[in-house]
Amino acid sequence: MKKLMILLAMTITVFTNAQTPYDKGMQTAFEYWGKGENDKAIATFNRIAQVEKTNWIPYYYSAQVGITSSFGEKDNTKRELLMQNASVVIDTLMKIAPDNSEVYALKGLLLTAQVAYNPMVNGAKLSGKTIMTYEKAIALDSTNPRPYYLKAQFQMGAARFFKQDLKPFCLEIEKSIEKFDSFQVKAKYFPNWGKEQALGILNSDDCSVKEVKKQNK
Amino acid sequence: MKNLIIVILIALGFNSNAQNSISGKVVDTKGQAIVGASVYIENTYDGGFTDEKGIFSFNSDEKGIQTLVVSFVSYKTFKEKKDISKLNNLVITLEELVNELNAITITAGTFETGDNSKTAVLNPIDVVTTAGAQAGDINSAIKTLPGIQTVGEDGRLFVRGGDARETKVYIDGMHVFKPYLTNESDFPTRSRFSSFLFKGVAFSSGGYSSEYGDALSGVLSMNTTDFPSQSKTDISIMSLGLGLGKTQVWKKDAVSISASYINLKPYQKLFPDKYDWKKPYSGISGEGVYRHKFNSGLLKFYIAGTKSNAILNRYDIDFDKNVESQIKNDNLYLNYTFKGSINSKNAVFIGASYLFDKAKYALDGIPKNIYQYGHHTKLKYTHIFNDLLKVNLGSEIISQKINFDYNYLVEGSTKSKQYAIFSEAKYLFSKNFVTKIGLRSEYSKLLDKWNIAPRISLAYKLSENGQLSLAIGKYFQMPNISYIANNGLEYENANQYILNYSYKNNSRILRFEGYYKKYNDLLLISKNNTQSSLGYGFARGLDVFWKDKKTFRFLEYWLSYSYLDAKKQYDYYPEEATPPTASKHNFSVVAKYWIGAIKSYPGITFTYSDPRPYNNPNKDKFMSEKTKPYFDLSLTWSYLISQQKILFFSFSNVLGFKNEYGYQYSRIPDSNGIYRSQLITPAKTRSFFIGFFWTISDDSKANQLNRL
Repeated sequence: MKKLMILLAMTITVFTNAQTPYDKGMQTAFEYWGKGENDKAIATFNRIAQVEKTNWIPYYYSAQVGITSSFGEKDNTKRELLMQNASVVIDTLMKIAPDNSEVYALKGLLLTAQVAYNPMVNGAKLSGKTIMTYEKAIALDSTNPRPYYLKAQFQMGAARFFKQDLKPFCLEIEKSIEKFDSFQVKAKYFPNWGKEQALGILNSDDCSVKEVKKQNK
Repeated sequence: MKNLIIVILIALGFNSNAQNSISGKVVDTKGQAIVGASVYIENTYDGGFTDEKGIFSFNSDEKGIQTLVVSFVSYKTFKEKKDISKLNNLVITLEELVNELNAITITAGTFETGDNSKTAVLNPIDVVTTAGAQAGDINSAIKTLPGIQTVGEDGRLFVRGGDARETKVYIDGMHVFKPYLTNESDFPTRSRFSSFLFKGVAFSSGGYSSEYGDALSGVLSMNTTDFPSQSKTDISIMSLGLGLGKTQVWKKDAVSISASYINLKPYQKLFPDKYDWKKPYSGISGEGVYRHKFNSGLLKFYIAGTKSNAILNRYDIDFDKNVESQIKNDNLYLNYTFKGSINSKNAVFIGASYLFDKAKYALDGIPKNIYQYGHHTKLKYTHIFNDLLKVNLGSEIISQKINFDYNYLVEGSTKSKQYAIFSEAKYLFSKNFVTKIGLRSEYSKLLDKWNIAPRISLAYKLSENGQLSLAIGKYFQMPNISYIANNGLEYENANQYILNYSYKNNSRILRFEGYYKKYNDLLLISKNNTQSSLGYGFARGLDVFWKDKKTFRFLEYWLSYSYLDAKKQYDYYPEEATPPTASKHNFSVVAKYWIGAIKSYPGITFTYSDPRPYNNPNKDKFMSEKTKPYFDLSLTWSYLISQQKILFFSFSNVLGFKNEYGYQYSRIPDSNGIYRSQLITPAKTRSFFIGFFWTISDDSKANQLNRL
């Protein structure tokens, strides 16, 4: 994940030569993120957002950094705080960019983080909502590969728990790869992540190895 | 290199000849440096972060009056408006953010179950998977908490030496007048409500808020799910009957209904108990919730109804032969509530509830009918002054009417109406110190008496996970209105003193709670049936609770121990005595273990209760006999067939302990002056339950985990 972020940050750095304050700010934020200084990255994205009042992108990254870093956070208080702050940012995003497929996909990821944090309680409570949020993201933009991949990944988690066949979800992830390949960014800094992780799952034991084992039998 | 820097500096100088340097230091209230705080000029990109010493410094091209913003996670954002040239060498103190989410909560007396990880002691799954004498009863998990005595022949909640009627039940903040099913005596009753529609239950064994009146010992407050996220259908097939649930969600509206048909006939045929049932218990019950979302409010309508019938032949001590006993019960309860926020500072709550209950008893063909009506309205207004101070103010009216007739000869009716106002203020001195001060005043038309009940509670955080809570208050309750015959009675009341220490981290909870409850003005009925308010008593004890889900992987368990010393003179007591429901030591262990390999969640519950006193009228000394101790070991097994299907087994009293609940005596002595006696034992030594639960949802995703 971190690697991808660095790569992403670098890609953006390379392709942006015009040094507007916005670009400079975004690059600084991506650098913090790349270095793992997540709190500073979030603060910097938020600082940009308070200038760019109608632009949803800085807030998108603010929430994304918060959510993704919550997954690995060991201190529970910090973890709750990261999710809570991301949730506030997503509420704002829903207002400045209503019916935005990317925002819904990110909201789905936040719900996934909450389920992962406390599966016994939130699993039952939020699973349905998580799926519905990803489905809403798909309905808003069927070319967006992220909700496809995230939804399949989330469902795989539950299927693994219930020892069910993972194959249908692997197929879903394969479908998302096609979507990733044909995906076109619609603006500068437009979200464009997830393909590497999707490929990672496809190449993991869950999908490929089992397939091979079955064929060998 | 040096030259290069100079060149850059000059170049920069061309661009901005009027750059202002902004600098300073950020500290907390103790003067400690805050590292990594974000400092910037509002509406600009100009800003930086504080370093290891809390120092920040950056330049800005902005001119004139500007706002400097300093923000840091879990601190209040600081803003200062000044001429930009003066924004240097500042020392900024950030105050810690204190709000509902990070501040201390009062734990004295209260146990919450629900999904709020901060305050909940049991989670929703615990509520439905706890093995116990009564499978599927919403109260069975609550009964494993300390402070509740095991009274095997009853089934209601007996809290800290109090009668069942000292604990009141609320749904969505509204009074439930008859929360338990109407059963034959010595058959443990259960809650009328299914766990399916509720999202959380808060149980208080004392020290509760001034919002709740007419209860001396406890409050059980259940909340229905606010707004379900998806439509689904639930089907249940049980050894006792069938159930069907349906939730339909629209944009602003959602409806949930559940209906069940219970018939014990097949079960009684296969596993007969000690009674001769002419018509085993059968009943239809239904519940429904409708919600409508407004832009800034939620309207809920809840309805529950039961219709039941049972006939059995049993030995009656007064008849000294087997007689036929029938109970028919029709119960309808409904409430509506509206919660709305006027703005971010003001909120209102409006609610009303109604009860109609008809119980028709027939003993040896002699009918007795009891009709009960209840009506509760409540208004509450909440004002949030700031993050630290919240005040509510409310009023309510509780009316009850009981009509009865006996053998078409005797008729009676009692009407009770109470008016109440209450107010409560919650103030946070800091993140670590909170207080709640409440006042409640009631007027009873039936008694023609006023009362004033002040209540105060405090909580102080001693360490990261440990805290001390204290609650002191006065609690009032109407004397049993089906008894009240003469004027001049007082409100029954109790003074409560509670001291609680609790330790909680994410996976372990430890609580100690000591209490003292002093009863005054209890209804006392003398031998010649004169009523007075001269009853009194006390209850004191210690409750201990330990829950751990960390030490052993996949194993979650909790232990409850209660010590209780209670004495009362009330009701028909000729002298002060320990009531039959009060056992000195109560102990229970609940353990659940997740076995992933076979997708199973087995659970075990062990309950022990000390001998309880009972009165033998053949003895001179009142309440001088004691029952045998009570033991129960129950098992449950939840097997997840798939995400949508679950198979549930429950087996109570596996080891077949021969529990006894004391003796029943005839009302009148026989010709030799002896009161005949009969041992009270459970109808069955062991009992079991099998259920298959299936959820079908629109997205095929909703699962049985929440019913597991």
